[in-house]
Amino acid sequence: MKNRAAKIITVLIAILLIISSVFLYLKYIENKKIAEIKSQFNTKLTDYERDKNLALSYLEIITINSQDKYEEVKEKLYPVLSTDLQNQLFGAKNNTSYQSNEIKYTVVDVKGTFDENNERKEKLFKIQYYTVEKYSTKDYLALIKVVDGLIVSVKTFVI
Amino acid sequence: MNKKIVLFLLLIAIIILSGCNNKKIQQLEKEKEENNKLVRDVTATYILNKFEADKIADDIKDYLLNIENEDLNFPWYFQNSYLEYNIIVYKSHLLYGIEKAVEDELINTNNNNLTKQDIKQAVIDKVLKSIEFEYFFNPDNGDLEQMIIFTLPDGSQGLFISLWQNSNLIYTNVFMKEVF
Repeated sequence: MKNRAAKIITVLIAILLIISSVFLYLKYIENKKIAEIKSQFNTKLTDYERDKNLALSYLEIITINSQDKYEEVKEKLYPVLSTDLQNQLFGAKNNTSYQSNEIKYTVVDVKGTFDENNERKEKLFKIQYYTVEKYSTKDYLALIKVVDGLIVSVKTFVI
Repeated sequence: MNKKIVLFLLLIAIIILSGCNNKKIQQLEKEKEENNKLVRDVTATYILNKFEADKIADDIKDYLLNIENEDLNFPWYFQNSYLEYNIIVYKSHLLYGIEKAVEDELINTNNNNLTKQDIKQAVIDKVLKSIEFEYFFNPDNGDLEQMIIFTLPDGSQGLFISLWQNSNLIYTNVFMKEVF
């Protein structure tokens, strides 16, 4: 009786071990195949979207109208700015007195450079937007350059 | 008999596990194909629009770079279109900017050996070298914008924009960024 029970347990353990091994092996093969397929994804459009969103995030600068807002925007933007822009926008000790009016902006159009041959590291985004502050609106065009996940230069035109 | 049952159960387990794996991979393969097809289509639209925009780019460059020549000898696709009007406006900004830069340089220069013509040529060379072409694309709708930028010695910049849809020019505009 005892021997029979021991045999059954041994067989069950052996089955479990075999199933686990097969499962782990198949999982390994699956992960390898998934990694291979993921490497074949053309990321041109997802990279474009990522950099576009980064460029758009720069416009938060416009909304700074108080010290609290300044700190909030600085926390968000500082890590994604080049060193030059960090110093230019947030470098000097901030002694600015702010108007209390809320400043909003609306993006009208966004387009970016599209490198069909994947030769250019940088992307330039052309963003048309307008700001609304109390009773006035102004139209702008910004050219924002993104390189390796950092905003490196911004030129703004009043239109 | 027990051995046969055990082996049979093992076989069933392997088949079930393999089936689960295959579904996930097939789904990912499908997503990959759809994504890559979208990128190919978008790239093709971009190349098509850029090809048409590039045909005009050379003509525009010649018109702008030929500073002294006011004649507008553009091909047929320029005629009776706002492209012609706006490119003339753009060039007038360019010429005005150059003249202003020359006047400023004449006032500020200490070198009496330089003639006005020398200074003008130097300014023209500098400004014409600054002319850049950029192409901006919206992957969502296939619109392509060709942008020409020149930079004047005082930092002012002029933008000329032409918008292309389905290989057709549908809009142009001019913007100036003054530096005060």
